[in-house]
Amino acid sequence: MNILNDKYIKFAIICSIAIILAILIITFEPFAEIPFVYNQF
Amino acid sequence: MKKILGVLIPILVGISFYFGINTYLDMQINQYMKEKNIDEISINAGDVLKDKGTIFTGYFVNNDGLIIQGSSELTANFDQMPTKIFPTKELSKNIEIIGRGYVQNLQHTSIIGSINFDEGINSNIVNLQSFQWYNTYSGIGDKNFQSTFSPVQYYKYINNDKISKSNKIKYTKRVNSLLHGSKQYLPEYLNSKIYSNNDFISKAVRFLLKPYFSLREKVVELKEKGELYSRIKKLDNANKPIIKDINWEKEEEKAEDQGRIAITNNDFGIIDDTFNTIQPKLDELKGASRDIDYTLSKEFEDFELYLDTCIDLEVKPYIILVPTNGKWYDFAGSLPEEREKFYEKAEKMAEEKGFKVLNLFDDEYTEYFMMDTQHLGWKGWLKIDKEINEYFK
Repeated sequence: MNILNDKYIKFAIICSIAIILAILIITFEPFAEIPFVYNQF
Repeated sequence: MKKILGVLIPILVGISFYFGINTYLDMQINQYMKEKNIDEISINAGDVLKDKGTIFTGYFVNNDGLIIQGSSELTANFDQMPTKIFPTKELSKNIEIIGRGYVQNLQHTSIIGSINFDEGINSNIVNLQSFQWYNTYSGIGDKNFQSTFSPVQYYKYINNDKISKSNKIKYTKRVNSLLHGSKQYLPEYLNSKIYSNNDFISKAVRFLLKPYFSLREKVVELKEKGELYSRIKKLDNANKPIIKDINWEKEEEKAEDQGRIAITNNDFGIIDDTFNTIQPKLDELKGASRDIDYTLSKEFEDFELYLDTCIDLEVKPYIILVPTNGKWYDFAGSLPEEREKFYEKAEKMAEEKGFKVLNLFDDEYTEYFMMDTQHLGWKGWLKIDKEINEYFK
């Protein structure tokens, strides 16, 4: 409890969670696709 | 001290998590590629995991699969498609098709150059060259190229130790010219811009942006693994492949019959539905291909880069020069002797570099060989199947 009251530890935990979430989003977000229309003429 | 730890801990957690998830995905992907029915992806034309990825095709070609590189003709669904004919008694390889509309030589160069070929893997590739790729002097258009471009392939190509510096420079210059104006691929536009320049400013920018480009490379690699993992874990388990005993004569009759049923309303050899959409534009299309010198297209430079990249990688694709619809192109104002010059130039270029070539120019007027003005049809695919069956057995 005392540890969580420490603002630096809090900062470290929040940042760590944010980084983990960012990596997960980057990993599982699909490839961005540019739409294309194929026209043979 | 606490301040330092407050900054250091998230960095260490982030690095550890990145390596952890990377290793986990590698292990899972390896296992699923062995266990799952990956044919669902390998025979699906235009699948992003093949067109824009590197891992799937790398695994496939290194595990005795045969890859066929082409473009829009691969999206057809005839009974004669190689994906439906193979594996045969003579050629027991599974087939992976790569390509859709606008996937041309430069994109195939990116794909082939991003693969780590195992020792001894040198001829499990077929490359279908389309005549239509060469009907503009500038080759592939920038918007069309951007719709097929893949950053992960780009970074793997320029980091591939087997590819010579001179080919990497040609590749980055060409990619740079086609990514101009793209916001989505701005990092690769910048990277390709400074890759080959040795002036002071380029060197300084290269040095300053090196951490950013390394990070970008890791991000796109991880993204590919995430997408591949998400897709293959949902696939059913693999079944034993069904080896077919093909009676080629019967298949020939079937192809002829199917073509005859599909083409009834015109003399061009174009399937009825397509002809119905073309008919109102006939006056506009008559003579539209007049005076084009197909041998001058920039696509030839991309073809040469493709062949040179293959030489660096010590792989020898079987090059097939796909014909076009002769009757239609005559109507469009292109002379057969002008078209023949293209086939001769492409054949000569590939053969002089040591590649085997199948030139199908003589089939331009073969009935039911094509399905429309430019895409392979029943007999066209069957001929290619037979040639592949013979060549790779």
